[in-house]
Amino acid sequence: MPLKLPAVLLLLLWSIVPLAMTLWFSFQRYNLLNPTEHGWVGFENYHFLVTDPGLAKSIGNTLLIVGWVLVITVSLGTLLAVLFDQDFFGRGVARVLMIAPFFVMPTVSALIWKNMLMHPANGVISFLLMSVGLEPIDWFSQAPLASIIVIVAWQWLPFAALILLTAIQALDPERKEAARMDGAGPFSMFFFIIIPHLARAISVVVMIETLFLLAVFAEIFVTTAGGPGLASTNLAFLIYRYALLEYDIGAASAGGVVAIILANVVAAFLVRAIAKNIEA
Amino acid sequence: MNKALRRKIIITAAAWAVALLIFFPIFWMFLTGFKTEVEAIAIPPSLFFTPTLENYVAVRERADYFKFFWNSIYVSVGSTVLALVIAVPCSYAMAFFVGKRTKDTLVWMLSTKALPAVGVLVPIYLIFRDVGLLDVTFGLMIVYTLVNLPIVVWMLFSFFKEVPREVLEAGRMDGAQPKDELYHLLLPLSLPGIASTSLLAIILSWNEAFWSLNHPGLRLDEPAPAGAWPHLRRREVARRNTVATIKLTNIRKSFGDVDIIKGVSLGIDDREFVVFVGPSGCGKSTLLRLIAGLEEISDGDLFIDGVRSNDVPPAKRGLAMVFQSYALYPHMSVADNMAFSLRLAHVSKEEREKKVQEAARVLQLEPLLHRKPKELSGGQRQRVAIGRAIVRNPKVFLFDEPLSNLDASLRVQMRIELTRLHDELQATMIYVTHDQVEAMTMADKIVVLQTGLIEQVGSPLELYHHPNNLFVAGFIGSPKMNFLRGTVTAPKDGTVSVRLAGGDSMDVPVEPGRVKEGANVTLGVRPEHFRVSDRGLIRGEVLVVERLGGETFLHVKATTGELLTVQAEGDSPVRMHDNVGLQANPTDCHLFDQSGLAIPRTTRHPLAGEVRRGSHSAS
Ligand SMILES: Nc1ncnc2c1ncn2[C@@H]1O[C@H](COP(=O)(O)OP(=O)(O)OP(=O)(O)O)[C@@H](O)[C@H]1O
Ligand SMILES: [Mg+2]
Repeated sequence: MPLKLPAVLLLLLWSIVPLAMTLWFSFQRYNLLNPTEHGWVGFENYHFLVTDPGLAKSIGNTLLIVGWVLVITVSLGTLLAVLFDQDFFGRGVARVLMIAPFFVMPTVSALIWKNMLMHPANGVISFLLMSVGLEPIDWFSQAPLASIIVIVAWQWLPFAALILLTAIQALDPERKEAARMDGAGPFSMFFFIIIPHLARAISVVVMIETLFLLAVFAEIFVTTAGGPGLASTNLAFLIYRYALLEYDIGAASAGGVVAIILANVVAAFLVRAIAKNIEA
Repeated sequence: MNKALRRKIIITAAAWAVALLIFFPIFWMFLTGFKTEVEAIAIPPSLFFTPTLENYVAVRERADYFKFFWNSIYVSVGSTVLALVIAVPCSYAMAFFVGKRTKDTLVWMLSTKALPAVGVLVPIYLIFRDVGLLDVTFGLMIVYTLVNLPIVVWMLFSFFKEVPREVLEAGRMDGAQPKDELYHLLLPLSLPGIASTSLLAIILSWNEAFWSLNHPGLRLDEPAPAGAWPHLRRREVARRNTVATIKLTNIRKSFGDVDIIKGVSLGIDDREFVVFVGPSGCGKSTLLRLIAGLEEISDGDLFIDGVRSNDVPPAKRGLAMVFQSYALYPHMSVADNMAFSLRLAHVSKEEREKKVQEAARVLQLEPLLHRKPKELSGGQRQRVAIGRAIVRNPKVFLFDEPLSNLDASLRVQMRIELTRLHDELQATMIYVTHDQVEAMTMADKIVVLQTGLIEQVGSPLELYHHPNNLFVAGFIGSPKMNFLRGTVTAPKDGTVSVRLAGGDSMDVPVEPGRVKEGANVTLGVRPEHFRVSDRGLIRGEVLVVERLGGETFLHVKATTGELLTVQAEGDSPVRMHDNVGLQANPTDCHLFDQSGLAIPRTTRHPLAGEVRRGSHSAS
């Protein structure tokens, strides 16, 4: 079929060309501010990167964001899916409300949380803390990474709940009835029937979310700009800093290569842990 | 009913609380949109204020807001369309034409979804700078297309893979080329998947900010082999010594305001094999599920062993159910499937293994214990489903059309095996079917249902020889009973003379009771009770002759226009278009009054009260 070959080629090109270029630039001295000073520098950019305390910190932050958001969205998402699968009054509307955050742009949701909810003076959370007699917290300076995790988890929770809800609805009702006849109460039903049934859907959620969470950017950019210090800088933000704040294409590319390696390590891990679920 | 309502209210409260909590930030943003600049930063935040539209007016007055808005729509929709055009052939190739390494490739591609934004920002930036796409919205559209492409390819790939193989193979047998397969089978069949993929892609690009931010010039645009059970040795099956009786009194069930079961009263004796039959939709399954406890009883009482059990949860009723679709747990092995209920009941591991081994030996499932349901044949799955019921040693077995998914010969075998199982286990069984041969051959007692009401209850031969009404007469027996119109000429004591439409008369031995001279009645004659003779009660032309070897069915068009079915000997010489006369023995005929009710026969058939169980040598 004539369309097939070009499509596959395009896809490969897309994967390989930028990758090759990134690799190439990572061995170059290349600063946009000083374009004439240009040439092969061997591992100098990598040396710079490895000695930059920001790298280890930002890799750590990246993994923390991915890990925590996954734990929160998958566990709460499963519970939400079971809850919203029940028959109750106004189910349709309640489901829409629950899913709504997914449709809010990350920049916008970051602004809502930053200026209206987590603001130390006029935020709703401060107000609630004060009305029970506690000190308000300046979230973005005292717990910057946790704050970002909360915002990102809030955005991705509906996605996880929605996919898992769809999967629960696909569960053969006779199987649930058979389990009821076998004496399964709500808990046994949840752990022995629903969770195993959801294994595949959970894998899909973990897979898709991971890919996006590895590259969280807008939330950090809008709220903490990676600070204070490097407290909330992840790999994406670090590279952004090199490339567009310091115009150092060489260092940014070396950071890009590290990001690619990290993504592939995480992906390889996911494949071993999860891919067999998805293929089954 | 009250319990269900209370539960629903609690769930409503919980779900709404959660939904509102999750939605709160968006609500708050909406609210803040109507506050003045001063109120927006008031401490404490104000819930009550005079709403103002000034913020909306301000946005409206900014010409660039709409430009950005259109840019967002243009970029997100455009990039999604582009991504689909490239991804469809690509996913198709990957799903069906790429070797075993597909999975690895896919995952690698997926990881590139994580890397582009961070890892390949620079080259893309430089390439775009050199070809002059940097400050153009179209450039952004291309970036978004490429960013979303891997995820679109991957989702389409999974949806294509879900299209049943048989459909594609049938297509290939019909001569579909890959192109036809793609356009006429895969795309239409995976349309819902494509729609959700597009939606996801649009949302993802709509939400994307990284690229536009780093794109100078643009800002924030945003079942059994036979013989299984003969091996069953009686001593080895735990015999029940308890009694299991079920009594229904005036049971009703409605779904919403539709009444499905309209007052059913029935007693089921210990160790009885009861079969519910009736046409599709008459409520057989519903009645069974009411007994099982899977549906709540709207009105009336259910007694199990004399205890009112309307509100006893299903697992506590001492019943086991075998579902039509088997409802096996796909992720558990055969052994685990059978042990599941025991495990939930905290039965020890050794005990569980013992019981599963026993059931497996009885059902000849031993070599299959470690397989998953999907690796079994239909008949084997059926046996696992029964095994799952056996391990629980229930008082009553409930079966809902358990054989309907099996082929004809397997069905006959399983029918025999189930009857034998009933004899061996000495358990009460309730069995739903719409196959009247299953009903006749297996039942101690048949319950005939129609539109939520019991038409008649009795032994198979009682229903056959003494049907209560036209419905039961027509439903039991195969082929169907023939019905002939007639008029009563002389009701006497012990016989009623009936003149048929064709002119001949017959004296039927029934109690005259309510029938008067001149009343319109229906004469019922079963096909096996007609004899072909020269001087017949009825004459007609043979339209079709069906020779089955042992017997021959004749379809005869009577001179009065009625179509009749006649069972003749296998070597009957009758041929198509012959004119034949039909004769019947009056003692074999049934008479129904104008309202369809049977007029009781004067003599009861000697076997009508026969209970098969009576001949069973219970030890
Ligand atoms: N949950 C439900 N809600 C509303 N109506 C229902 C429900 N379950 C069953 N019904 C209706 O009740 C009637 C009886 O259904 P039931 O499943 O008992 O039929 P059945 O006798 O088992 O038929 P079949 O031989 O086709 O299995 C049908 O008209 C069906 O539409
Ligand atoms: Mg049914």
